[in-house]
Amino acid sequence: MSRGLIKLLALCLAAIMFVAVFAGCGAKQKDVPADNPSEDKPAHQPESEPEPDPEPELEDVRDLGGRVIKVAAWWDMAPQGGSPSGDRMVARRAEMEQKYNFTFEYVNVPWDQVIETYSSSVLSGDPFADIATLEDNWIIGLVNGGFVTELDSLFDFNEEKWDQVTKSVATIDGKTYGMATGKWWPRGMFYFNKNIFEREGLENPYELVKSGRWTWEKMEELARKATKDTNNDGVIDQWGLAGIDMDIALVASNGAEMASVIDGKAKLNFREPAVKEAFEFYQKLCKEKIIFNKFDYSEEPPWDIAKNMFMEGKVAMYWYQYWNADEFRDNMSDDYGLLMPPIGPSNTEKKYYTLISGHNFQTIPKGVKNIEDIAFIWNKWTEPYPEDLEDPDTWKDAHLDKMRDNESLDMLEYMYDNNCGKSVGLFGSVQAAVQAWWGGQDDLLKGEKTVAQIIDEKYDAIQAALDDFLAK
Amino acid sequence: MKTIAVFRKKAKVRKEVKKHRRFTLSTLAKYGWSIVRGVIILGICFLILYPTLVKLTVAFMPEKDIFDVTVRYIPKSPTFENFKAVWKAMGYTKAFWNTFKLSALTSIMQLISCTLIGYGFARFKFRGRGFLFTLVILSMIVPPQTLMVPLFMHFRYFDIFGIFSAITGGRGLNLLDSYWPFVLMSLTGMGLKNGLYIYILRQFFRGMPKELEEAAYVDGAGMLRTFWQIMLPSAVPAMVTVFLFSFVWQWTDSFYSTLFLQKTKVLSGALSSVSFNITQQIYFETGVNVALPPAISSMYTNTASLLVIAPLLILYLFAQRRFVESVERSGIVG
Amino acid sequence: MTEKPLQQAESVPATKPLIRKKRRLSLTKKRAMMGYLFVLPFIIGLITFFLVPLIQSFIFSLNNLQVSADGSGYQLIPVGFGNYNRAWNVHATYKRDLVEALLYMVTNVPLIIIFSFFAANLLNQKFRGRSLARAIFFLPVIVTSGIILVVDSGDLLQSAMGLTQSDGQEGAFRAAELTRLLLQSRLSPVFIDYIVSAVDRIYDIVSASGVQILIFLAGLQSISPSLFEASNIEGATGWENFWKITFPMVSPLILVNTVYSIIDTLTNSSNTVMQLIRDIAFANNDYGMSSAMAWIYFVSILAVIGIVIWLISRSVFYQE
Repeated sequence: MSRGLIKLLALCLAAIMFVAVFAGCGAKQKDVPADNPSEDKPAHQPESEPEPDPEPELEDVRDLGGRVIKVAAWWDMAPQGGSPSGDRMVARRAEMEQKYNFTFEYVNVPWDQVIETYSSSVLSGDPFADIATLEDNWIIGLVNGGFVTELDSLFDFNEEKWDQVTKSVATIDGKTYGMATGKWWPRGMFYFNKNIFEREGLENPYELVKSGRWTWEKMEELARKATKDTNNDGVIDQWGLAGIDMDIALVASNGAEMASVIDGKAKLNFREPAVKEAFEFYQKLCKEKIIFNKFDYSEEPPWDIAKNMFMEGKVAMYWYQYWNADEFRDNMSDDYGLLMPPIGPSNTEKKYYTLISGHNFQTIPKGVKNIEDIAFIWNKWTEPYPEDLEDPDTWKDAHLDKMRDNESLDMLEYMYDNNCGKSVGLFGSVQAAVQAWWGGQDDLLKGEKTVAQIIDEKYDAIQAALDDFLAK
Repeated sequence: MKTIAVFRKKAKVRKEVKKHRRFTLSTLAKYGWSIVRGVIILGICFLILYPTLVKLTVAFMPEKDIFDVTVRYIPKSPTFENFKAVWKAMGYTKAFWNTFKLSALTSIMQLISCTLIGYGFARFKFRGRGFLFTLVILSMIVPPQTLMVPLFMHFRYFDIFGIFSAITGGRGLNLLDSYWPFVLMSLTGMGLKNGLYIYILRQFFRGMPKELEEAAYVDGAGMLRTFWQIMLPSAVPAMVTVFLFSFVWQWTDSFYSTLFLQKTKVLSGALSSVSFNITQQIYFETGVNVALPPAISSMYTNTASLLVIAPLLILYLFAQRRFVESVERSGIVG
Repeated sequence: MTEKPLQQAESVPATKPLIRKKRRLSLTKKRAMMGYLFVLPFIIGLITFFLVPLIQSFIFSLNNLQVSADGSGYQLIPVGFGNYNRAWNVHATYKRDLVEALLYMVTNVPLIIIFSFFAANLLNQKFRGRSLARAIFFLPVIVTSGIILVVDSGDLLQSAMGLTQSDGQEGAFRAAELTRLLLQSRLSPVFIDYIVSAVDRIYDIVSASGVQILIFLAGLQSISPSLFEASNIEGATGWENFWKITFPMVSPLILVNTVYSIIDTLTNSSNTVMQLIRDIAFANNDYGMSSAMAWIYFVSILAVIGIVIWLISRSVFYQE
């Protein structure tokens, strides 16, 4: 037995040594920054452009003592050279890291694990990043759990560089928790079929928007004119409107939101007059067959049949999302243009609102040490580059291939300049609520029940789901 | 006399006809069975392959084919562009190498530890065996996600009986962002799904004839030698299977990789971020934060997942040919 | 005179200690110690990596977890068995989801075992293209694991390809087209429903059987050919071979596969209860209740498996 035991111990020892060698490799891996573009430090370019620096020189000097600032997203945010915008970011990073004695480290967490990593690491007292990117759907839950730091005291959001739509999306109960610079990518979008508009002699919607006359009444009037039976067979085959999730868009364009967070509690706004008004307007259009109703036209309609109808040129105005434009561009024979939703009667500010979702921005988790240092660095990092201030139209290039005319681009510009984005807010963050409402949307479309009935049916379940979400 | 001869001939012919008929009946049965078998296997293969085939077709489609509603399965102008873009965005070579190292390391260690542990459970009677084995099953039941928060804290402030905190004065070692958690967990049979491997090997060892062991013992072999020279070779198919499972599951694992590794890039992380990283590259090139249309980002993700799956299939074919079939042919078994 | 026998009797104890020593090193004891040695790494691992987090999770389940405002981590607010009570009695769907999951498992697992055994036998026979077929059957193991599963289940590929979707259901075989076809043939809708759900089920079962097929295959490959040669000499038919040799030799693995299938069906990420546990933790930030739900669930699974093992072990053939 002793011989056998010695052999076993020898085997274990060998295994442990074998392991130690490999683990050593693993540990070494930890110290060598794997694929950091900061390796190309020789590309150091002295910051020669005169930077508009209102702060006195004294505040500019800070030594962070070699600290590692972790910036996290579900992609790799590390600046890469090889293009003008990439190069200048690499240069700025190198310059800042040297000046303030710190290093940026970019952490890439998978999209489906961001919330878990965020909350687990904050719970353990060691946040996984100093600056963490979040999506608009996640921020409410995390703020409610107390995982996110308030940003109002650290950043001045009145500065030009901060995107105001982000601020409104990331402001919960009056406090701001998220920030972003640059332009948000459009999401909810109205399309209109130019050929139909011409054929039916309808007013140019672009003019309507510019003169502020693009309202619900106008949209209803135009849609009514466009809804007809074109081949006189007794069946309507051209509709004024079609869309997916149009009821939510109408609520937003009426200056209201589906649900709000008030004093830390969830409030479903279905019984608010503005929201009811939007639903009733929507159902009126459905009952009068002005909106293409998928339930009338096939056994088990695919969920995107409305889009196909628009693509085939049978609908005058269509609402869904910006990325539909790619399909329309390639497959639609008629010409189309882009629009924002019209202003509703309760929209007292007379401001156009279009829905955004899937928007992401930066936050600072709770438990990050020396927050003022982080805020300082991030403020410096997000300073606009002088080239951008000179040529403000560079953003347009990315949108050109989605449009068929220049006025659509003007519409986007108007949208950006006037901060017309609005997020679905609390309602969109609670999956259970969204799913419960699908039944309600279908009921609205079918038009068999009254709006009050539908609201009563769904109200309690959705309110409960929202309450559950915010419960502490 | 003639009639008798005729009878005999007729009988002979009848016998031969009967033999002939029996012959065709059995070969018919054999051929019939091959056809049925072929059809069943083809059917199931198609069922399994269909999603992957769809991925394959999409991977070769350029952007305009994706949006072209007339194109369903066959791309009009096949291209390698997607593969190139995805390869670059994933940092494939580096991620591949890291993942390979990690998977190979953990698989070998898990194989060793689980075989030893499985053998221990199978062939030795000791007190508490039943209770310990219940814990093996419990370790199979509880998925790692449920223990995420405690696990995270455990490895962040790793300590054994307070030794480390006594030495360093802190709260313990930070073992995160290294290979150590993997190594430690694999060596002790607590890695991903290790409970299953222990169970498989235990059942294998239990299913082996006791006479083999006793014969070896009578011949003077110690317990260790019996294990090494007699039991192990017979368990090769099981061990190869366990190795394959372990390798595949570690290769595609994203939970432990995200938990324990932050800087090291592995394929699972690269795959889940590929469409976002491509967006990021566009940002660096144009200065605008575009959002890829869902169809396009789906196309990139599918192309990337093909690149992640392919090495595993190659490994499987290799392991099949080298290990299992060679064992069958050489007839070591039994 | 009577003392002499006593003295003789006293000389006996001198040999007793020797016998006692030998008994301490008896074969059973030696083997027991070797057993412990083999299993030692597992015991160490269990204590460090499993039991400690498990106990911590149990402690969580008896408390409410809050993030401490100063960012130093978390605080525990004890609620006794309140979380368990809420999970079982108050929560709208937990109990129902649990029972539904168990029922689903009861119908699916036998189908998986039967199918995978059948498939493994097929793959063990000699035919052309066997390696390729085996590689294809290995695909479900890869495709249902880790990141690939996550990526595939969130995929919008179907809509991009223009494949029909019915109400957000994915997967090529979620038989929208099949339904339409069957409806045209004017069979009764109940029958159609059954066929369609069977087709759905087939796909589920095939993709959940990857691991089991491989395990059975390994088992079949371990049966020594000499057994079959011997029985063929005795004149056994293929049928008898199957039931007297193949089936018993593989029966220990039927147990593993059953247990694994039960666990896999009940704990994979697409299971309703698992999703509920995850959502309550990370969407609702209620870690205490999530842990309580998890504990109730896992203890039930352990109980179910215990019963299953007890039932099946009686018919498993071990060569002991």
